[in-house]
Amino acid sequence: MRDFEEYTRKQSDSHIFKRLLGYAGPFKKNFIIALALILIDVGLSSISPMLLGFIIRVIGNETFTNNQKFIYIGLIILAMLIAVGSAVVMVYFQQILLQDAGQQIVKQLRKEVFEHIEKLSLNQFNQIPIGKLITRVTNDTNTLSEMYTSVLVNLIRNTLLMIVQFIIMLIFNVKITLIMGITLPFVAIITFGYRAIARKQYRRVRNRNTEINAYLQENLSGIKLTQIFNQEVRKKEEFTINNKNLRREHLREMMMFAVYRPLMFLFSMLASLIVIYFLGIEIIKAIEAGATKDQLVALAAVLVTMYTYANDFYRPLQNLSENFNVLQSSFASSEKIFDVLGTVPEIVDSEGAIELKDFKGEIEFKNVWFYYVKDEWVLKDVSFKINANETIAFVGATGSGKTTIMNLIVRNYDIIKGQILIDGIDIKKIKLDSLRSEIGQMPQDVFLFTGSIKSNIAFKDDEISLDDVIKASEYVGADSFIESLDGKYEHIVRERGNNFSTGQRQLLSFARALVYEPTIMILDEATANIDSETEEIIQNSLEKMMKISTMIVVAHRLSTIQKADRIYVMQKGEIKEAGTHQELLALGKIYYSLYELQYK
Amino acid sequence: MIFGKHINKYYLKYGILLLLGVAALLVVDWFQLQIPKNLGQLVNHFEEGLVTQQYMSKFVKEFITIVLIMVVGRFFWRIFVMGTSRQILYDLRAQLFDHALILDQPYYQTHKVGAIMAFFSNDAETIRASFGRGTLMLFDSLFLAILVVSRMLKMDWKLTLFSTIPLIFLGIVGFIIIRKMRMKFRLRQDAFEYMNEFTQESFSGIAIIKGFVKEVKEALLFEEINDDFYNKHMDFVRTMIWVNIVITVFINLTIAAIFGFGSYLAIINPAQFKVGHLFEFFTLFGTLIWPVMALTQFANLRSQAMASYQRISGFLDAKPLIKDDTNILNFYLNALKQKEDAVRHQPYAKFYLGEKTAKSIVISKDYPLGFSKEDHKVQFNIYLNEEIRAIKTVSLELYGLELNIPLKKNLFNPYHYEGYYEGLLPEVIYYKVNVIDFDDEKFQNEEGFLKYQLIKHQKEEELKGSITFNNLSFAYPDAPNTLILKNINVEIKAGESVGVLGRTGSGKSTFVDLLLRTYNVDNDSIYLDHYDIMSLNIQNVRNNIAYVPQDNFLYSTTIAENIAFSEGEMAFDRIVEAAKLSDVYDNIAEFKDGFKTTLGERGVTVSGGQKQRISIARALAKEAPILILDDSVSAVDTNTEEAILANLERVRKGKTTILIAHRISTVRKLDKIILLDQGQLKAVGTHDELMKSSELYQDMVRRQTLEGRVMGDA
Repeated sequence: MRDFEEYTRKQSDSHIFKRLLGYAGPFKKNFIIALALILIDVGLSSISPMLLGFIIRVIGNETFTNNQKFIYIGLIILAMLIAVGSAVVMVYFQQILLQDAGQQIVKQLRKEVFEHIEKLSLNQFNQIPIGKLITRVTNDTNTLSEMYTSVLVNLIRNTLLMIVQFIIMLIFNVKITLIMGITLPFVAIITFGYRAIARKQYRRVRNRNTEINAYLQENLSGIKLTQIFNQEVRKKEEFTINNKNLRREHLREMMMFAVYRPLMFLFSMLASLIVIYFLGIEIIKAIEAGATKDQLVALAAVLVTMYTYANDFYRPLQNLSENFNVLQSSFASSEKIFDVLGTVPEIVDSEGAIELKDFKGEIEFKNVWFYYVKDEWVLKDVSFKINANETIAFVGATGSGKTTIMNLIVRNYDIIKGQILIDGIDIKKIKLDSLRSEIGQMPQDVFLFTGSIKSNIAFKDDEISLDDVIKASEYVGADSFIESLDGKYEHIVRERGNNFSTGQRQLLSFARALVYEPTIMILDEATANIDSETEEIIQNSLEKMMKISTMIVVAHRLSTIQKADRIYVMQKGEIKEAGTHQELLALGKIYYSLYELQYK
Repeated sequence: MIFGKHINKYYLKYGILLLLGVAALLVVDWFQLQIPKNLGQLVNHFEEGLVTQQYMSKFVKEFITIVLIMVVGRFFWRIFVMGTSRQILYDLRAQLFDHALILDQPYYQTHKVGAIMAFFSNDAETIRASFGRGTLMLFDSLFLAILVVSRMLKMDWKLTLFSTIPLIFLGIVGFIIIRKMRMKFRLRQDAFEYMNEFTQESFSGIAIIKGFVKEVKEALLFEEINDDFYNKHMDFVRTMIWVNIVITVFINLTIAAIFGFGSYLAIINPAQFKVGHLFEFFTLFGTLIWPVMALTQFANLRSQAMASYQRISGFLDAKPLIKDDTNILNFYLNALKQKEDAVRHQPYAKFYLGEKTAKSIVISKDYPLGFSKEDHKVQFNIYLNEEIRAIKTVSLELYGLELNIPLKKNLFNPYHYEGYYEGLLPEVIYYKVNVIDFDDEKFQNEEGFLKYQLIKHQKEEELKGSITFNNLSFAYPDAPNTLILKNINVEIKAGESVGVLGRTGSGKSTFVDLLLRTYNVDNDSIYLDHYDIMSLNIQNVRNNIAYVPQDNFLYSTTIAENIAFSEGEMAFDRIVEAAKLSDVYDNIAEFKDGFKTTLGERGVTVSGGQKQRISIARALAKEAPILILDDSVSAVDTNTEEAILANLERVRKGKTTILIAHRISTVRKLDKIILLDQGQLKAVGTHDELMKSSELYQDMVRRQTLEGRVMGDA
């Protein structure tokens, strides 16, 4: 997956657009109905400026009696209210239909993105900041929603509106409408030109904003150093430069707007003036030709109507330019989303991978070589065999490769050279899900999810009942502290379980693993100090757990190690010593030093 | 909109610009209403067949004039109002940053950077909006509404009632439904945030999810949350659509009323109320919609801005605990006075020194007298301890500069007088405060030397570098009952190299923090040379210490700039020399841009060891009498460590060097080793001495030998 800092578009607009339209497929009906409603809505909106013209004609008509006038005007107003009423209903349905379709599409897309990201391998997760992945799921999809809810439809609506109103004006007066039309290209150029520049300017403002925020983030975090080095004046100067840069871009942005808005006003007034002036000339001619009062009234009504049209003529155009703007950001977001969807998970089931059946729990490493970063070997030619139901301890200094072995057994990474066999089968030939569900993992840094104790032990599985949870907790001895909490198994677990001690989290992690009755258990012991009472409980439950399945422990505690069938001593990615506690002590080498260091 | 002292000063500073903007706004509003009026007349004339060519050209001329005036006016109010609001945002940010630089570690320990950043972005932005959009909405809508309604009233008061009453209703209803809409929006926002949090947690815990094969289940849970957001969003959208419908219906009903009643008037009374009037009225009504909407929005904006102001002023009101003792300043000034008297002493004007004056007016001790705003603009603050109502003027005389600066009473604090001087000032000036009362009696209250408080790089008192801990005990201010250091008594002679050894939590780092005066200690507990650290100017203390922090914080600037951090301009040779001494020169030379390589997110990422060594180079380039390295060679390999230590021994000869360490190898060759454990001083001596006398030290040596064997290093 690419990094998106300065994103350059790689996919063509039409390609993205096609793909986006594909998502709209299931909601074709919604879009078609909405479109039909829009046509009616455009029609109704286009008629309304004519009303006042009619009213003026009725009022000025000398052949009507007052009562007739009242009736006609009453009818016009009634017609207007009906038109408005039905337009309102149309708009309501049209918007609901579109919003619903749009949001459902986005919902679907969001689901796909989330599921896809969850499928990516841990290695890929470690390479991308989590914040970015979250943005793909939530914000980018949100940006996209406007594309379906407003942009597509408004593009059509505004274009239609302009055309229809122009035609209506043409019907009233061809010559004047055409003269007014001369202003159109200018306005279009100014509007779209402004949009293009404003977009660039907006990006500049945003970049400056990002800069100043990054500066603040860094310097507020490092303010101690600034103060200790007495560099406040310098920092102030630096900040002033950033602050000035931002101000300059802000003022430029404002200046552009300050020019654009009055300019648009100027042009729409110019359009109105053209209408007034030329109609005025025609009326004067009519007056000179001795027109009747009725004719004059009719002309005045035309003036009022056309003025109203001319006044609003450029609004759809401005909307259109905004629509195009949104369209562009939607495209940018879509591309990022499609990029995520196009990223293939690194570790997947190989073809013909099998399910584990009657799993015994044997593990064998044959000459395994592994690195995270190219050529920085973490494991060098590691070989060992663990029989079913054995308990094995791995010991060694930090960075010696113990935890890596645990990661490889559950295939969080694929090895570089060698072979890992489970029950004699290469793990690459076993389905990932099948492999992992047979192995109970208890990592060093116990990750708990927000929720309750029960939800953490049952861990997102509805089939596990409270009884199962309690049984598992009792088995590992977690019940004593859980029973003392408010709400017991319903006690709230806060973010990452930070309302529990390391020891308590460890016990919960045991229970979580046990509830699934795994055939192999792998445990990375916590290094942190645990209070002696909890420590004793942990040791007791470990002893019990060792009896029920194969168990591999990255061990830091003597009592754990002593009970192991075999101990492997790791140093710099190699297994240096192997044997029981007594054998290794007798050897008097690395293990002996370790023992001296940690347990005496 | 009146805020409070931190913001109100901007009204004074930018009042004229804002007023110009408002004036432009009024001009635009007034002319805006001329258009419907002229049009209405034109329609009337047309209908009656009275229009001539001349009338038409007069109309066109007027129309063009009005439009041009409006165009210009619109341009200017934007520049004045919006431009000023940007200027205020700029000033406010600078003010916030200045304050951030003054605040001390006790503050930063208890406040998150993220929260402080919000003051700079969201809160400052809201306040800007209230100056910009707020000013516009308030003035524009009020004036426009008044002008429109009075014009309407002139035409027909009944029709005016018909059209304004629904709008007032609309305003009230609008206010209520907008509230409701905001509530729905908040629900939607909460759902969105929950979705964010869920995603965050799910991606953070992905290892365990995969470990337990819960990807599918997790996706199902996500779907529920996704659905919930969808529902909340649709709920909000539905309300929003309803709001629009209500507004549309209200407006159109009103238009219908205007058409109906207006036509009635025009039919019944065609001489008084012509169709042109109806047209004008209709157009005016269109103009009236915006003020109603704007006023409701203004109410919202105002309450948001007030909340932002509360937060910002909470920050600006926070005062640093770590500051120079005011007595020190006086002490320092007195010393200077004696030195300078010979030069400065000359007879000057006579003053009446009445009895009352001496005790009734004092310069507040809480604030320094002079405070530099910018390099060449000095603000003087005089705080009187008691207000004398009869005061006519207060002025400040700067002796020798022949300047008499009048001070103005601060609008919000009657005890506070302030004045400005623009230009260069010497660092130390002799000043007098003159007060004249209403009997024109002039008396002078305070005089003395004023040290102009511009923070700049200067070495005031070069220390020799001896450090004495005299029965020092210390607890952090947020946990006063937990003593981190207990009864420490030890002396470090100038020029010694000393190692401070101890396990995690032994108090090593606190030891350093105190030497750097990032926290206050009791008087009489730490001495630098023969000065009590609490009596020294903080800047002075820090100027005399070069420091390598534990976290190796580097700025995302170039490597050269990082090394030269202690001084703005540093000779390149010195930078190179420092890099060589800390054994990082070769690494830097390998980078494509060498010393000009930018570090950090947008630049090159360097390894932990390289960071440490650049950080050491930064301290060495400072050439201070005391150098402190806080566990700073932990991430480099043994050979590099030895090279650096050898270099240190050479260049720091005769200068005090303190190395905090947890490895024996780092400190074994030093003049003296201080052994700390659980906040207590366990032993002091050379390596050989400690090997004989201290069991704890022996144990540490033994353990580290074993560790080396386990790691496979030795």
